[in-house]
Amino acid sequence: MAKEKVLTEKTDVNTPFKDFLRKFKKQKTAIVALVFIFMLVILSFISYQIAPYGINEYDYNAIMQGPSAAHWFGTDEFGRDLFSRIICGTRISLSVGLFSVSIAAICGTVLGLLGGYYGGFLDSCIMRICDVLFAFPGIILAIAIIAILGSGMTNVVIAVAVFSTPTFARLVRSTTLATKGNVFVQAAKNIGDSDARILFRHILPSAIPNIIVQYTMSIGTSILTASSLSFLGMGAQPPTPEWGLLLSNGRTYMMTSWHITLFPGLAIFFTVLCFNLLGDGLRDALDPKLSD
Amino acid sequence: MDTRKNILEIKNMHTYFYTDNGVVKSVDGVDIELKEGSTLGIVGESGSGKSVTALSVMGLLMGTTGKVVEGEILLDGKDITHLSDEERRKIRGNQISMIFQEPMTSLNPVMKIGDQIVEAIRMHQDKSKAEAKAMAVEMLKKTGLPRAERMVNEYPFQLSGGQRQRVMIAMALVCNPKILIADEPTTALDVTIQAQIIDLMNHLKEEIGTSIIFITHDLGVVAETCDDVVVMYCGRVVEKGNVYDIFDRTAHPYTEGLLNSIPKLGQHVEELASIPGNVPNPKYMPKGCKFAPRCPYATDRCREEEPGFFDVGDGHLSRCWRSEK
Amino acid sequence: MLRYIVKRIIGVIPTLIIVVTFVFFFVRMIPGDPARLVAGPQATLEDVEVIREELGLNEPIPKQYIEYVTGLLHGDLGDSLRTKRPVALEVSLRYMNTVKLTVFSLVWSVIVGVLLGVWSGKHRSKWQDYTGMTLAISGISMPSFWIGFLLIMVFAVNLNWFPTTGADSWKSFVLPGIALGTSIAAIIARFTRSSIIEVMKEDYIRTARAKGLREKTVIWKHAFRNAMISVVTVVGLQFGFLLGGSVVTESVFAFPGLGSLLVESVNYRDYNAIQSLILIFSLHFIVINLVVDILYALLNPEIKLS
Repeated sequence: MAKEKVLTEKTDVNTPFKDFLRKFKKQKTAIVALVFIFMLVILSFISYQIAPYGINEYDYNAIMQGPSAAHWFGTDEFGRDLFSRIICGTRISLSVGLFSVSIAAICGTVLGLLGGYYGGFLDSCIMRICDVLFAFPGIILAIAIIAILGSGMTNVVIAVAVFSTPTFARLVRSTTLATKGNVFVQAAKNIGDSDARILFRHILPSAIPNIIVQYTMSIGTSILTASSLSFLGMGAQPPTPEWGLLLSNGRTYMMTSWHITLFPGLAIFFTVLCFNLLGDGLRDALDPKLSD
Repeated sequence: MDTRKNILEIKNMHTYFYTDNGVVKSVDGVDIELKEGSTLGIVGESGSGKSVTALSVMGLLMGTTGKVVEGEILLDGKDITHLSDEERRKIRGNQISMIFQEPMTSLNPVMKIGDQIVEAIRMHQDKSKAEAKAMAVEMLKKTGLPRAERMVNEYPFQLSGGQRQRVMIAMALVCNPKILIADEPTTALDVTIQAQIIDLMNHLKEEIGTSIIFITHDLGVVAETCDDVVVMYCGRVVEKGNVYDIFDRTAHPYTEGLLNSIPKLGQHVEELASIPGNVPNPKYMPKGCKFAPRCPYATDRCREEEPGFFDVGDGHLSRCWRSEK
Repeated sequence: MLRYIVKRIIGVIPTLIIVVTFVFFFVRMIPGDPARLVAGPQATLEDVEVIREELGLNEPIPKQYIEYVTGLLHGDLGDSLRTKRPVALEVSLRYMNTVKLTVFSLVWSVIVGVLLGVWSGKHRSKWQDYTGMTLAISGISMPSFWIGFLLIMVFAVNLNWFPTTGADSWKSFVLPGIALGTSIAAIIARFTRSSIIEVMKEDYIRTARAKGLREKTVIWKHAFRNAMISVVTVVGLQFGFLLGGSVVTESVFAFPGLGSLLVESVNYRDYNAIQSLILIFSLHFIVINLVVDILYALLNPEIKLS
């Protein structure tokens, strides 16, 4: 009888991943957001095939029309279908977000691991650089980088990656510092594991949850920043159907054609919202403090 | 037979916590009586429900998922479980006070000591700020704190753990409550400070006329301070009686286990006898007697059927089949 | 306390030096010949030489650096390549507009954010919480320039309550201020909420309740101040966000501030102005964070008294 009890409790002990899944399943909004993100990703692949009109299909008989059955989101000053342009813009915004944050996450993680693990001069250098990057408000730094490199989406990706990197570096560094002293790391050292192995097999896994949350949240921010830069004329150039650029384009016609500014903004809002909701859900599911 | 009236009576109280993984019955049908002017010890391991019992009496379950779902709490003969939140609040700190285990974190770090006591006074009594402050200084002096006049203007981080616990006691007793609940007040303190705090509580109990509920897992402390003892296990009372009955005529195997785990002075101990196993996970409560899996005397009956209370003499109750006559 | 402040001030000096150095090398990091780039493709060789002279690029780097720093210490930011007037003058014309705009945005967003955060936090998992947090997550997900457009469409074009552009009266600050402060208010609300929830689990909150204090007193007197200690640090970081956001918002409203000056300068490749503005933005950010550090100490008696 007593033995049976012990067994039931043992089977109740979950692996961290199972535990995470169980908690994540309770985050209903985050799951909905995840589904929408999947749909956006699929859309970004097939948008050019399913778009009812070409993104640069001019129709001078239908300029600046409001939403209708033929043009769901209306048309712009050249009679281009706004709906088609917006769904084709998904690919641009998602790839900017993914690329810039992936670069930032990889660079930041490596810097954080090295700084936290080796400490000393290397650590001071890395942290000093982070401090300086932090001393510039994010978008100002991005503008500075673009002023050097010139405008264009590639440079926007680089600029956003640069200002997102220090966040990851600090995050990973603090986890590394906390994990470094753990028994299992000491044990790995004693049996003669290489530093690289210790860093990537033992220390990195404990930082992964935080990195995932930060990654998701940063994608939202980077999509916002990238569209802001395009809006300012420093990112995508016409006639790219980038959302920020579409919005910027719409401001000339704001008084008469509200739909040209409304729909691209909604697209940005919706996409960023999905990533932020997912990030919140992941954080709650991974946060040991919130388990009650 | 003690004829003093009961200042506090807990009748068949059930406190459940509603978690994502189901209902946790932290307190599951508890009857406790506190006689006026006496000290009652509630003893048990962590997880036995003794702290939840105290919080239920205080009405301090807000902010948790816990709720008193059944039973009555009679304060001076009047049931307080059905009072409004506002009426319960007026009782707290005024008629029933509580001090906690962690003196280091139980005081607000950004408020001056004096202000923290003054606000308790002014909440329940119509006093001016100056009067309340004078009362606070007076009370701090009673708890044996030196330089009380200066201390009212200091912040908690400037005090030691023992001093903070004295401040907590001063704060709890400043409105002359009928009942003081002390939840492991000495556990976090050094041994020498522990004794001082216990002396202080005994002394102030006489001076102010407060009845005390002393929650602890330390039977040594119980022997020194308590008149009556309640032993709790898994949300239930397993044995209760006066302190002599509990120590000299121990009836329940769990109490026996607790007593055996105290190292005795001057006695050469080969091995510290203690209770094998752990408190069961509330999610997988055993079917019969909750203590059966750890009990050296457990029989098949114990594992199948939960015993009720048996009177082993003069109101000394034990929840064990071995006490059945 | 004084020692803490002095220590903090000394602590930012290396950052200041590195930032100034970074900004100095900024123009020199432009790939190719900056003078050529500034002069434009049609410029003759003499023109390029003149511009090189103007930028001081023909001197050895250490000498340029010393001259640059000396200039900065005298408030000399060089001449704008676009307007041919001193950058310091261009900045001074617009400086107060941006200060007023950011301060107004910060003030309202802190008040609204903190109130919304406390309201959500104290009603955790109830409808108030869900409402508050839905608002907040929407706030951080909306592009500020879009909010700006929506505000212009509703309140300037349709209702005609506020002007669409300029910085002429207090009315001109309302819409840009709302657009700029929304995401900050949302971030502060989210942070305040989690901070309040954390603090409400503390032992001293249980003590406060055990004293029989009203829930209102428990929250505003005990939980709030402790929660604010960590919220203050976030507000400092948000100020940087606000400075950055002003660039976008000022463009939306054609608001004559430093942010729109930066955008114009980038479009005209006015490198002197760009480097000065970037320096000004980051200096403000550093100073604000210093102020926040000191504020943090004032809220925390343990640091205040040491």
